[in-house]
Formats: sequence, structure tokens, C-alpha cells
Amino acid sequence: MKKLLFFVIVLFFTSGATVFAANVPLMEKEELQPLLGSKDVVVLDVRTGRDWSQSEFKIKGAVRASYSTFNEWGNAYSKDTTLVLYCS
Amino acid sequence: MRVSLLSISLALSWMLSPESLILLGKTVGEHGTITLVVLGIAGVVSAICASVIYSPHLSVQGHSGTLLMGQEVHAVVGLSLTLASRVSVTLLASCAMLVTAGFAFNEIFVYWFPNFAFATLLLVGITGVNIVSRGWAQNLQMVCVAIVILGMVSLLLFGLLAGEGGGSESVWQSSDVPFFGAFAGVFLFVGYDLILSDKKGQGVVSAFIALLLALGIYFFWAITSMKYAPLAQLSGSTIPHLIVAKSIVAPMGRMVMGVVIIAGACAAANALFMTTRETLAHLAEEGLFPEWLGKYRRGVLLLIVLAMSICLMMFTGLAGEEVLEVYLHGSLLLWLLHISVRCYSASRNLSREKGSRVVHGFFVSILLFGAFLYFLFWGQSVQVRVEFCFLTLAAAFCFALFWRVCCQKKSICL
Repeated sequence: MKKLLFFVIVLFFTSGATVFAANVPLMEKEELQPLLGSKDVVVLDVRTGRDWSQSEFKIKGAVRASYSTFNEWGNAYSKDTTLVLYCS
Repeated sequence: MRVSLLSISLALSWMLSPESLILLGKTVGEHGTITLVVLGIAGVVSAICASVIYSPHLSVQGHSGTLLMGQEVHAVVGLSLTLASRVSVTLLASCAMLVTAGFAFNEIFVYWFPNFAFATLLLVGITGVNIVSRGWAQNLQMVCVAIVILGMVSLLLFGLLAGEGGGSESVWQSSDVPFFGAFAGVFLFVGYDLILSDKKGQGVVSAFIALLLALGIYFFWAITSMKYAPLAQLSGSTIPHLIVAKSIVAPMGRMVMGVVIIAGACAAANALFMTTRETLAHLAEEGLFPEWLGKYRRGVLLLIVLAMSICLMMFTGLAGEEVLEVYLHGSLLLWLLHISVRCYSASRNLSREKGSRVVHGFFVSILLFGAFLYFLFWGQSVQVRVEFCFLTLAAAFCFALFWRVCCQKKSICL
């Protein structure tokens, strides 16, 4: 019974994170492609470490941004700008 | 013959790893044609060092030179350096390169297969092979290195003979970073000290063959890189080898380089597992390392600890942290320091055995120590790197001191 309860608790917390994450809209590459180059859309490459350095795929025009410096770049763009975060 | 092939493949494991290809590409981008000179000098320095540390005239022979360093410098110093360098490189370099292999597999071959899952599969596979049979691990080593050599030679032949090029004119270029190439070159050739040879003199032959092979591949890859890619692109890229491979013959070049990256990562990780296990098992036999960890099935428990540590590092997301590169750089510096002190110890031993000073050995050991200091205190993230090296050495030193003082009396430790 204790093992079952433990399993349920673990399952709750792991699925809970997914529920919260589902509120962030995702964008497919087909949606993004026509928007590239637009002044109102900024692609932020937030991959860090080897997630970025060992990847062949870097979106042209993407700006590298670190989550640790969010306070700096978070206010750098106007409210009308669409920020597309590219992560691994 | 089999032992020589294994020794050569162990020595080549780091030289032909993805990390070395990246470093080579960046060096070409920074220095242009001067890279060829840098490679030659670094190769000669490494060959001299190998001839000293594997000399058949040494009175103390051993896989990692720990006993030799213990005799010529200090027992605690020797053990500390061996532990600090071997364990840190095995953990960090294996983690980094297996993750690189995962990205290569995901982006070049099967896009829907998660890269970290592939990296974990490789880790489990390499660990499993090493646990099940040393013979299998040795065969895996030789096969992986053979695949890397085949892939690189194929690209080189096509690039030099058939391709048209497209890079800028190669020029005699000096870098804005002083001495970068001169010292970076030595990092390309470390790995010749991974040879596990019990026969006197065979280590020298195997090391020389490996260095010559690596030098040849590096030399022609540098020329090919300059032929196919602008130097600025190479120096600014994190994957210069892939850029060149794609430029030589797309898309086949990219796939060949993908195979080279995966096989190279496997070879390097396998070699580090094998040599660290053998080294520590050997030290356990000498009473310098816990017997229960080193002796049972020749260090299989140690393998499991290393693999689980790497797994934990991958699952906690260390590969996605910038600090991994700093730690990896630090572990390579410790490796260089280990080789430097080993070379110095061997030079002292030979000087006494031969009755005349081995000047070239002392000179090379000082040169390598200078490279260690230069790269320790130059560049970005100096504080983190120094802290890493210091803490790793301190931890190894404390363990070595504890083991020597307490456990050798058999009164406290099991």
C-alpha cells in the first residue's frame, strides 16, 4: 500500500509539471518559416552548453539568449514583439 | 601483433575523438597555414615524451607511471595526479563526447530518436561490453578506431583528389590569441599515455605509430579544411569538422562524419573506461587503492560507479550547462599535468639508470608544464577552472594521503 501511494505521489508531481507546461504555446517549423525576417518576430536561441554547441541546426537570424540573464533581455523588446524561444 | 594493434587504438582514441577534431578545426581557423608547423612541433614534442615515459630502460614500469612518480617525486603526489587526471577525464570527457554522439545521431541519421537516449544507450553498451568481457572491450576499441580512420581517410581522399574546394586562399595567419596554437597542439596528441603495454619497448613503438597516424590525418585534414572552408568560419564554429565534411561532398560527407563522430566518441569513452579500470586495478594490487574496489573481477565495481556517475551527470542536465566545457577543459589540463610530471619522473629515473642527464625529457616536461600553466590561467572562466583543478587535486591528495597513512596499517580500512 505504501509503495502504491509513493508511486501515485511521484506520478502526480511528474504529470503536474506537464500540465503547467501545456499552457505555453508551441510553434511548428512550418509556422515559423514564413515569419522569419519579420520585424515583429524575434527568435531567441536559448539552448545552452552542448545543446547549442554540438547542434548543426542554428536558425538564421536567431539571437542567443540565456535563461540566467532573462532580466536583461526580457525587457529589451517591445510588448508588440513576438518572441519565439528555440530550445532543445 | 594483437597487443600492438590494441595499444595503437588506445593511443589514437583521444587523438581521433570528436573533441580533437573540434580543436583542430579551431586551430586551423585561428592560424591558417601555420597550423601545419604547429602540428609538426606538437607531434615531435609528444613523440619525445612518449619515448621517455615508455623507455624500456626505466627501472619501474607501469600503466600510468604512478609507481614511477611515487619513486621519483612522492608516493602521495603520484597517486593524487593519477586519480585526479584519470577519473576526472573519464567522467567528464565520456559524458561530453557521448552527448555529442547523441546529437550527431539525432540530427544526421534518425531525427525522432532522442539524442540523450542514444547517448545513454551508448554508455550502457560500452559499460556492458567492459563488464562482460575484456576481450570484447578490446575488439570494440579496435573496430571503432578502424571505422574512424576509414571515415577520415575517405573524406580526405575525396577532398584532396576529387573535390574543387571553395574556401578562401590559405594564408600564413597569426592568431589574435598569443601562443594558442603552439600550446593547443599538445592537447591534440595527449592519449599516447593510455597505452596498456606489459612488454618493455612495445609502448614506444605503439605510441610512435599512433602519433604518426594521427599527425598524418591531422596534417591532411588541416589542408582539406583550408581548401573547403573560410578560416573565419572555422574559428567561429563549434562544429568545424562537420562544416568541412559537408563542403567536401554533401550530403554523403555529413553522414560519413556522423559515423566518425559516433565511432570516435565510443572509442574515446571505451579507452578511458579500459585504461582507468586497468590502472586502478593495478594500483589495488600494489596496495595503493582499495582492494575491494579494484580487485573484484579486475575493477568491475569501479566501472559501474563510473558509468552511474556519468549517467547521473547526463540526467541532471550537465551537458546543457556551459560549465561542463570549463570542467572538461580543467580535466584535460590535469591530464597534461599528469603527463608532464610522469615525463619528469621518467627523465629522472633514466638519468640515474643511464648515468647521464636525459635533457630532452626534462625539456619536454617543462614545456608541458608551461602549457598547463598557460591554459590554466588564460582565457575565459579562469576562476571556475582554477577552482575545479584545485578541488579535484585536493580531493585526490586527501584520499591518497589517507590511504597511505591509515589504510596501509590495515587498522582502519577494510
